Amino acid sequence: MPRSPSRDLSDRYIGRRGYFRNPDSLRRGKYALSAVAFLAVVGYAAIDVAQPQRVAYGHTHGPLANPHAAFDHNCDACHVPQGTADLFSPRLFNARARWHDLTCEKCHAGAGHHASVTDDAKQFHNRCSNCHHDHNGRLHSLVRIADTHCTQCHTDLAKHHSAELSKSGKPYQNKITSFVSDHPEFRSLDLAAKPRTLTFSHAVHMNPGQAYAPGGKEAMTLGRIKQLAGDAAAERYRKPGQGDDALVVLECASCHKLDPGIGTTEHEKLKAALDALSEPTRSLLPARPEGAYFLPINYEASCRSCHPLGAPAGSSAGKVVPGFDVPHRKQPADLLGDLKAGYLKGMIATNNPLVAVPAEPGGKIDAPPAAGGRTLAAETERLAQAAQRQLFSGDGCAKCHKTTGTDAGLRVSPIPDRTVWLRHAKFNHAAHRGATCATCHPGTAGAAISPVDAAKPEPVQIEGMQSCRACHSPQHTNVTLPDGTRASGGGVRHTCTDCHRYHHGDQPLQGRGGESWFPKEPRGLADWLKGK
Amino acid sequence: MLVGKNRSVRGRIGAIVFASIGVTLAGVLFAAAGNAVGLWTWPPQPSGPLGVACGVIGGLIVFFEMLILPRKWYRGKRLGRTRLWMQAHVWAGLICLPVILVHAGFGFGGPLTTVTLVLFLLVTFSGIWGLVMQQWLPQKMLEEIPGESIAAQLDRLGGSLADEAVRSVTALITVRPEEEAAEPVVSGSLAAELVAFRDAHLVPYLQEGARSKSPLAMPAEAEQRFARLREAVPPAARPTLDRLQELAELRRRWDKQGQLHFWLHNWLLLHLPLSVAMSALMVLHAVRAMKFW
Repeated sequence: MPRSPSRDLSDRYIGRRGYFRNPDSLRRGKYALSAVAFLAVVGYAAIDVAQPQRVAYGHTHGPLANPHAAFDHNCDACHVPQGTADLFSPRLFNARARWHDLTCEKCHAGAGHHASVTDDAKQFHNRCSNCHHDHNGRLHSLVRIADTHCTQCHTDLAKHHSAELSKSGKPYQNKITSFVSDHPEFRSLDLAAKPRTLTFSHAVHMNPGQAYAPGGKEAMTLGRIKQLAGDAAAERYRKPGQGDDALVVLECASCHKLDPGIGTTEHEKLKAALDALSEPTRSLLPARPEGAYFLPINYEASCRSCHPLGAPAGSSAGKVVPGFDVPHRKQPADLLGDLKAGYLKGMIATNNPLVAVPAEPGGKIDAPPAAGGRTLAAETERLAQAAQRQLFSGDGCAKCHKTTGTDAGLRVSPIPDRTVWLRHAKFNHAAHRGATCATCHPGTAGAAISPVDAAKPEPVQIEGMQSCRACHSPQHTNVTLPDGTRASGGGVRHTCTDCHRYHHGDQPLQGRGGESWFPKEPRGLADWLKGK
Repeated sequence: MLVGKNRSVRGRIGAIVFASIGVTLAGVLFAAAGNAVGLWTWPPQPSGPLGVACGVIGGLIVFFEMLILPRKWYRGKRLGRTRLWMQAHVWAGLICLPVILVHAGFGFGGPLTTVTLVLFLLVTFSGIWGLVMQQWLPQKMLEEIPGESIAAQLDRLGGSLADEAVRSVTALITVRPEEEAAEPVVSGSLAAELVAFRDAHLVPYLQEGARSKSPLAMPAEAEQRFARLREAVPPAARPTLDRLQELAELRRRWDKQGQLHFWLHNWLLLHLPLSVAMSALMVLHAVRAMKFW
């Protein structure tokens, strides 16, 4: 019987039929490598369970921003851990929503959203991380967010906002897609709701000597200021080499102080002038070195040197009753008491005969003793009434202030707080100090003006949106400057958050030190570091 | 596993590449179409409903893929047909690629997910590479390596060949007692040269193959050396030399078989360990994600 060829092949394995049970190097290699890989991962997982902070870097989407750096390896500090029960919840398939379960309110006071937003929008805004994205590196800003976060509502605001709930009472522009293309003009420039109640002419005050025209007769000199307000006031406005007969030449910074800060030359000069007038300088000039906004203009600091408020001297019982300074910011009814007290004091000081008349007895049986037919009370009342009429006449308070009512009902109209004109945006004057004031504030230079026009309230001297877009627009964008010329955009940043802030947006001067920014329960250092 | 039966190697490889790209594109287009009709956003978010659903599906597929390991360990239990298992393994693996890409939102995420995704991609591509090798190399071995043997036993079989070579040469240079001849077939200096050739080149080559660095590994060199010996020895010894040359050629074919076998299976050195690591990291990722997301 011939031998099968297969027999030769099978004979090779005589004695080793179980060869397949002994793996070759490839097989051994793949199992050995698999075991190493498995053990490595198990070791990593063990560390993850025992000391999660040590391997938390493996789970994070990136380093946290600097303010949150302490929580880099501590997910629990911000994220709400999910329990086993959550595995059986429909929320399992909405991990994004679970991921948004954050505890930002532990450290951040959550000033909410606009009062006028719809319920859906409110729900969106309740999730801080919908707009503030962390895990993007140490230097990533949590507040400089992409425009898309804003435009997702503002491209069709009516869907997310109930106009009737708006506190401003004005409809907002429904569609805003970018600052450059369709951002509306500043709402603050519309004074219809709150008209100006102060008469002030920049043209007059910027003319040399504060005349209606350059070279006008009514010029104010340094000597006149010295006479009205003293040496310190004159020195404040004196320029090197000027004598007392020199005309006072004001600059923007003569009145508009960009938060000079205590210790600066400007501050010391202003303080000396106010101290000479016994004014509470420290309360008027709180230290605000940030320089974003100008200090509020007030009478004592900026007007009084040239426009002192004084009760005129009077005459009573053949004697002169001297005049005296009267306080500012008082309504007529309140000022009347001060005037009476001032004149009474003057009459006593000048030994007015009426002072010597004994006071009338308590009863009213006898007629009061007469001295020329007048009593001390009647005289002070007369003098005070006359002074009040003069003070609130066209050359007194009413020179600047609007008044309402007459006689006993006379009141000075309050001046709206316009320290910050663009209340829904932030603007830093110090950052723009390289530009002249007139770049953004036209019509504030000296010019010839008639007394009639000077006595009218000025329009808002803030240039419109175009002046901003000249710089704050993408490079090579065609922009129209306020004077109508065309230019190429400056390429300076122009995102929504460069000007707007969402939280506390209605309180422009309230910074991080404001009460509403504080968390409900501040933490101790140890707890804070642990993110508890 | 061969993809199809009647196609050429090129056709089978083309089918694999086409299926890989096609399945991936189909998955991505499906996700894009969902975005177009407003079912979800684009790119898909890993933590969105679609992303999580894909993550769960992908995890289940990976779990199924790993079942092929116990299936191999317990092949004697006959848990389904091997071909069926491999088909399911391959197709599920291909489908898993777009599923996981959608789950990842076409990004890598944090360090853990990055490592997991990179491992997943390496596992997938090594699997596709292995599948391609399996369409090509077995047929090449069938065509080019007659006398193919079990790759794992080649070194042991080489030892058998070496034993045979030693016996053959010894028979030429010695006289066995049962034989009547007074002289061996090869003697003197020629016998010494034959023994030296056997011990220095032939036996090491038969035992270790190309690793022995023997000149016999090169066909031309081997042919030259055997031809010179064949001319030198008496005619009676030439059949033995022919057999020795045949053994060397067989060993050379086994060397080539070893090389092809290595390329046929070396992807598993990557595929299996990385699969194990990826699966374990996937579980860790899922647990952490469930806890904090």
